[in-house]
Amino acid sequence: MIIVVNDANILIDLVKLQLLPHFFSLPLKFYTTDLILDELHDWQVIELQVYIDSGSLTVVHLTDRELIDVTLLQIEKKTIVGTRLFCHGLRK
Amino acid sequence: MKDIIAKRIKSARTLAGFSLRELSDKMDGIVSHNAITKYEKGLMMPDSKVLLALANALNVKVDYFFRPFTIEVGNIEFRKKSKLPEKEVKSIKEEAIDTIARYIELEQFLNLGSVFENPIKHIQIKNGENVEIAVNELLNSWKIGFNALPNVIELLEDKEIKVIELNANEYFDGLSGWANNKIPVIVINKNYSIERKRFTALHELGHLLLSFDENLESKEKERLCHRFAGAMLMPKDTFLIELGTNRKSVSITELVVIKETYGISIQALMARAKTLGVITEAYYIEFRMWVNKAENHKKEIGFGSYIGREQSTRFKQLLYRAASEEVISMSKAANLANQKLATFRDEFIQI
Repeated sequence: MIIVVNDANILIDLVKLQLLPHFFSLPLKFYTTDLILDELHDWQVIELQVYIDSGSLTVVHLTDRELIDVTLLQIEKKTIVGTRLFCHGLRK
Repeated sequence: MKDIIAKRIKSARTLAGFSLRELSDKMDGIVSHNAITKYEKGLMMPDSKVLLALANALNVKVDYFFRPFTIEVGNIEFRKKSKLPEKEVKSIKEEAIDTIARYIELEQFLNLGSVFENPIKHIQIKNGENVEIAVNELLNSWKIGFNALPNVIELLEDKEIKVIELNANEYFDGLSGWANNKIPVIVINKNYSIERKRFTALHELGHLLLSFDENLESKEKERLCHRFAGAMLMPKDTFLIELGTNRKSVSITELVVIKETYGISIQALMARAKTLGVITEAYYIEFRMWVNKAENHKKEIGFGSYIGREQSTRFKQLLYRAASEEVISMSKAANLANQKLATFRDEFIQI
């Protein structure tokens, strides 16, 4: 099963509560985007790096076309920020 | 949509004050300056990797590139020294417009739309006396009395005027204008002394509120806005009670005490004393010579400081309220604050 982490708050909380080892030991595949990671402090990204390197967390880069699709969605759903919608596109 | 992203990339570059080549260098050559030109013309779209590099180099959030243009600021009155480079002028305007757009978006989320009314619109300003009358009427209308104004920025924000402080070059004083033709906006330099911030904010208020006679030259309007600011800080009657109506000489020590109470600089006090005929022109010239004698005289270093606070806080206050009430998500709040989510969360403490 694939889980898309579409909110940077989740990653921030996991780092803060020192739950990363437990989270990534779940039998699931985790995905997020580079734009979500950019919402974190550098030191928080460093904590995640080991899981990225081991393939537990896949960081997806979006193409120019995907970015446009997501932006159009953002105009539709005004209160949601772009970075979260980028994951919406990813889920699709 | 491509158009918005293209225009946003260009406005972010203007805001940062970079040339195409400088931006490419700043991005460690991830993309060439030719590619950036194509992005700005909408001929090519960056992917997320490039977009992140652009955002980091230009010190904006990625969301900035997707934000539609909703605000236009018109009738801009820009006060600056001639030494301020044109590049900086454009950058200040871009930053001001972006900040106002985020401010208004936040108010919309909180349903705080307001209609500003100018209580002194009907007074036609031809000379300094008209300004004194306008100030008295404004103080009465706003019910703020004739004593020292404790916090000018807070007062203006309470009166539905958007006050923005920018971290700008020392040659930038302030600007004023109307967002979407109805929302009054004042932008001041964050790095100035507290007395200068107060005076500049009120000078800009003068530009917004005074209905000048159409025959007045811009230099005269500037002079009258100075008078407006001085009168707001110390209305005529208050000034004459504090300093007297006719003085042969004034001590700096006496001026320091007034400065600390009313938050008006020694130089503005003396200019007002000359305007109101309390001191002679010759005595004022003598004072100007004293000012120009030393740098600490000019900057009034060691000559007292207003005991108060001048800081624009309303935007942050509204932001925390919106996040706390969950009107907007934390991520949205971080975007409106132009901060990383992690940074916003560090400063936001929820009960």
